[in-house]
Amino acid sequence: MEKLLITGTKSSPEIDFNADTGILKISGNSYPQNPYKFFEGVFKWVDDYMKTARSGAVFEIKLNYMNSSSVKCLMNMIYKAERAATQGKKCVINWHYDKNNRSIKDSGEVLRDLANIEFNIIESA
Amino acid sequence: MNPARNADVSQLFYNNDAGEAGSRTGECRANAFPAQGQDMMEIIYRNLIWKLNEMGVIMSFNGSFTQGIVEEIGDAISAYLDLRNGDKNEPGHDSGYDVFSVFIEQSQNIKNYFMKKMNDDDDRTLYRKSFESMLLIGIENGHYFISSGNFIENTDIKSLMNRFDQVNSLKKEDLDKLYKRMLLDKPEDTEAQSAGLGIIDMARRATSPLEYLITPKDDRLSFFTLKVYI
Repeated sequence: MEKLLITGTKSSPEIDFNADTGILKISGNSYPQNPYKFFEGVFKWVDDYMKTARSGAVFEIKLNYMNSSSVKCLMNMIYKAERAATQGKKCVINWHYDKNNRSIKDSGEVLRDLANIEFNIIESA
Repeated sequence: MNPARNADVSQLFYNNDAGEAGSRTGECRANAFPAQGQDMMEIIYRNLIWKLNEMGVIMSFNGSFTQGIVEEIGDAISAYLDLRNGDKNEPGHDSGYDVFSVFIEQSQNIKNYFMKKMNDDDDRTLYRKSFESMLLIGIENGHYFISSGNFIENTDIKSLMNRFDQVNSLKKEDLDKLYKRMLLDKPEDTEAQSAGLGIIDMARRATSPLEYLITPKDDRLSFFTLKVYI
């Protein structure tokens, strides 16, 4: 499967999804004009990946700021990962936060409480 | 009927009478026109700059919100907050991200509101009104505040008030529960979801209840102002 590479902008995140390694990276800022539209393409790739992949995925999420609609979009992503897990494709989410960014750490904790898959919150220097 | 409107400084430019605009923080007297040369500068200083300073405003914007404008102002605020973040003497020295968040939520709410209205309605009246939106960021009594104002249709007043009254009535734990519940719900109406989630998000970050004021303009429109303290 082709990689999914979307360059980050001031308001939309960088997406680096690798179907061979199963490592799916999301980084930067997320407050795009229309988050649902932005993540539509991302979700389609994830759906295709989950259908064809033999194993699950590791999400490496390292965001600086995300608006509330983006949090909702990530929740939808988590649902997809949970569904894949029920089909034997184990998914893990690694949520990275800068130690001064209490806000993003909080978003991670909220999502971790709602997620039914392995969700690690990791402080980065 | 001319209720006090803190955010409506644009009005001062277009009043042709010698009008007086009252405000919560004090009287501001609009000088009589002619607005030319020296007098115009005087008005800008005395009515705008001085007034903004008095209100503790650091940054202000009035006009129509576009994604580009939100990004650029976001940059400016980040730069300002970065200078202050980490300086333990500054008010709320670690609240930079909260200030930024609330700014983004408020400005995007306004942008999305008018975008939806433009799509629903061919009437250019509301489009012109989008330019009478305003946003202020400042410091008052040791707290940052983010305040915005925009025209809304009277038919939207009730649901808007309900949302704000609801979040203001909840204790922190219940606010968190509501936030999580909204995240879990499968979306039927993504736009309503967004507006609701954004308001809850602001309430979670705020250090006091969200303050709002709705000032009627005519039988179709009212002006909505919101103030969030961090």
